[in-house]
Amino acid sequence: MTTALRIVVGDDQPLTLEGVAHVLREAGFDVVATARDAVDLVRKARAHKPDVVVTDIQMPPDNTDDGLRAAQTIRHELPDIGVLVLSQYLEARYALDLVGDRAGGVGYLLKHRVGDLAILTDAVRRVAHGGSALDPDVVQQMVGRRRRDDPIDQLTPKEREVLGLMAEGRSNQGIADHLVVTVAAVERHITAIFNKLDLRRTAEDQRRVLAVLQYLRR
Amino acid sequence: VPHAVTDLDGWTVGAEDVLAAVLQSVAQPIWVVDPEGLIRFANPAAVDTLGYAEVGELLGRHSHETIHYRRPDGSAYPASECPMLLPRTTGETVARDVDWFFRRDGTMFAVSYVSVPIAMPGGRGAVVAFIDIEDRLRAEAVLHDRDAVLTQDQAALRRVATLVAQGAEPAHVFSAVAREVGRLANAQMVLMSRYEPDGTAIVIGAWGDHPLRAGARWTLDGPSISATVLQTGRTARFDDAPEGPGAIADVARDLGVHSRVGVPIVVDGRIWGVVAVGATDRRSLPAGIETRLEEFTELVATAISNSQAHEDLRRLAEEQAALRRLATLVAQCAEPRLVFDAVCEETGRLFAATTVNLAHFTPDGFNLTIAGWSLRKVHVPTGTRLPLEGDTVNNVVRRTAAPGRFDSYEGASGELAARLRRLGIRSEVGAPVVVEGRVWGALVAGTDEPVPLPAGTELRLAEFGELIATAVSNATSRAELVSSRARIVQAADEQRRRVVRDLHDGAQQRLVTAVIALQLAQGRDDLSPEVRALVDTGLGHAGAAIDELRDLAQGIHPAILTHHGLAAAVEALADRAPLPVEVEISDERYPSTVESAAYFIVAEALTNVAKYARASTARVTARQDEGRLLVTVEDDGAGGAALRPGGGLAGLGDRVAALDGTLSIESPVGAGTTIRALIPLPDLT
Repeated sequence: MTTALRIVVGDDQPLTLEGVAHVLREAGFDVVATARDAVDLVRKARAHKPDVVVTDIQMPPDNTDDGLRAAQTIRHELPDIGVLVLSQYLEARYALDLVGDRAGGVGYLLKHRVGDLAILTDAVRRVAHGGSALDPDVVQQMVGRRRRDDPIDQLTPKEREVLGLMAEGRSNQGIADHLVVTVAAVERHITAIFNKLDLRRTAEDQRRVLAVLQYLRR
Repeated sequence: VPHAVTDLDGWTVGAEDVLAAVLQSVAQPIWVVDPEGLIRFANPAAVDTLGYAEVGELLGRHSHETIHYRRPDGSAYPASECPMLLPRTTGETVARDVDWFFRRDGTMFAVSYVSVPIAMPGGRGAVVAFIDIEDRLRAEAVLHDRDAVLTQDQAALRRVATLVAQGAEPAHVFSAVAREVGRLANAQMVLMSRYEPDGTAIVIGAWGDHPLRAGARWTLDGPSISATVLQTGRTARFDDAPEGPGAIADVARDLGVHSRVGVPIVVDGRIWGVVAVGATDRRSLPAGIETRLEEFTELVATAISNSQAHEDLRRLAEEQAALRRLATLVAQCAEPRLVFDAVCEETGRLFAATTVNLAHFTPDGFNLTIAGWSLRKVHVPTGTRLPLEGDTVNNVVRRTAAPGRFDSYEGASGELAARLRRLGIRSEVGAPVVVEGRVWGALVAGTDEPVPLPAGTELRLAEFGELIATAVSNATSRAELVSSRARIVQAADEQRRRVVRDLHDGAQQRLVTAVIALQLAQGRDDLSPEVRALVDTGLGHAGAAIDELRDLAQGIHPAILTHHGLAAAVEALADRAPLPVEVEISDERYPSTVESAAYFIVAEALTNVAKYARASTARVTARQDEGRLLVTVEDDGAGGAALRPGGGLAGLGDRVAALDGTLSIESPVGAGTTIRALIPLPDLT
């Protein structure tokens, strides 16, 4: 391991804040600062220029979605910093608001994922390296949204699964690993999905995530 | 000449003696013409009437050349054409009703004559008897003139009566009367005025070359003819130029009026008004004109009385009916706006106003137009907010807290007066709307006619002002009730949000912390397999508890509703729904109580759709509709749904009712279900 990823953590609850920081340290990350409110979080992100900011949504000063807005500010102002939001809300709207029109360096996980070290560390790394990591449950909600005359209904169960994994922000390799199939098989599925959904192919992961998310939110 | 005798009742008298005596004494002028046409005899009456001193001046002169030589138009009158001399040749008697003779001094006079043939020694002569008919002709001429005047008067009266019978506008009738009177009296100035209770008079009809026109109000001070008529109750006449101050006197002086007659218009025993006539020449207003004007005003008064009595009755009935209708509306607790509009329209029609407005006097000194009606869409628009300053009836009413009037906005100050002028409103009456002892506003009726609304209209308007006050105070207490119920709903919402916040800050955080602790424990190398299994189980339960708690919090009050509003929250519901749900809601934010009510209605409705409707799709819409939020949830399912007491939707109906809204359900069997909620949005004014 070369240099550990540098992280700033934001959460207004001291117990959770300490817990999350602890888990991240245990996972080998370098927690350089913590913040108890959204204003402080932005300030510390500017000061420390960490690799990733991990933050809660509901925080002071307004105690509404201040953490989410702080995350958006940081993404806009400091695009090199990855942002991972730990949310208690299973709402596609928040995740999509966070992603906006750039699917790189961004993640949205439900808060209890801090209990699953593998998912958490994987998400932090992907976000740090310009990838994206959306919570499987949130993605499932988007893919599962029922629509009339929905082309998604034409997908096979496997293809639906691949579509969800693409939305989560996984690479072809990542999808292949997850499904325990070959990358070539994954690519075949993807071709089929893009044809059925009439989506334009794009080689680049981030653009693909954005295209898929936009399709799901149409 | 044979000696004849005549018997005078037994007395034998010489006939010639009798004849001579009769001719000498009779007042009838008589003369005798011989066959040559020369005068042979003339009695004293004839000599005198023809202007001669003695008979000698006439005897032997040619009759025609002496008294009959010209025609009345001055042309020559040859003797050969004279019928008076005809009996000499024809032997027939000739009679003329009208002819002209000349006196000695050459003057001409009218006569009536008879010419009778008489046998004379040299042939036939004629005896002419005539009478002076000058006086008779003069009398006839006078009579003829009088007939002409009477005919003229009757025609004028008939014209006016016809107008009245045709139901012409009073203003039209009055101006016609003024014109007729002006012509009849050959006057320079006619003013018909109505006496007002406040010591003024209003011109209701005018005629002549002067600036006073119907609608002008003037004060009855000074020795004017109209003031005199009012004081005495009788016809008055002044044969001089008016003296003293006053607009009327100035106008009369300008016209050079030297003779004035005023005749009262008495309606139902009361001095209602006056017809004043002025002329520059007193011969224009001859003695007797008063009688003619009185006859005239008598008819005018009758017409006014008839129309007024009829009008009064009709108006009273209409007024009572309108009051009853509006009172019913108020009692039904109809929306104040409805009541306001109805009152404006009813009073407008009732009082024949051009426009009626309801103004509210705001606590910060503004005049806010709340409702309005107008005959020709010319009222001050609803929502107009102007400072309460300047000359308006609104201000008069506010100051006095009593009905009032403003008879001319000509030259009145302030923006409201200027607007009224631009709209053509000339005068207004107003009545206060008093709510809980304070002048809340005014009900104001205006007209674009030159004649202001009749005296007393403001008092009658006051009854409607009271109805408005009742409606306002009903609405206020109702609004208080609604707002207190809304406060309860709001408090309940707030409580739900607090519960959710507490869950998030407390239980959820602790569970997350527990998960983290278990996670850290799981990372340890020194756990026995049994303990590791227990930690795994603990992690699983804690994770499930977090999920369940999240769903619970979402059900109590979803954060997304608070954070992002109705559209986002309903989209979130659609994300979870087991059937396609189309959502048409704008991102607009509404008051939280409204958003919550709308959200929970949609949530409950969608739950029901999923459970019972056997629908393939549902559609949710929300949009603003006349100050309310209209929410609909429709599906294409089996229908037959109803609001069951105690059911989830019925509970939401109560919640909507607390916000003064309504919830309805339409669900014909086999044709889907539509749930519709109307939730009032708080008034932005």
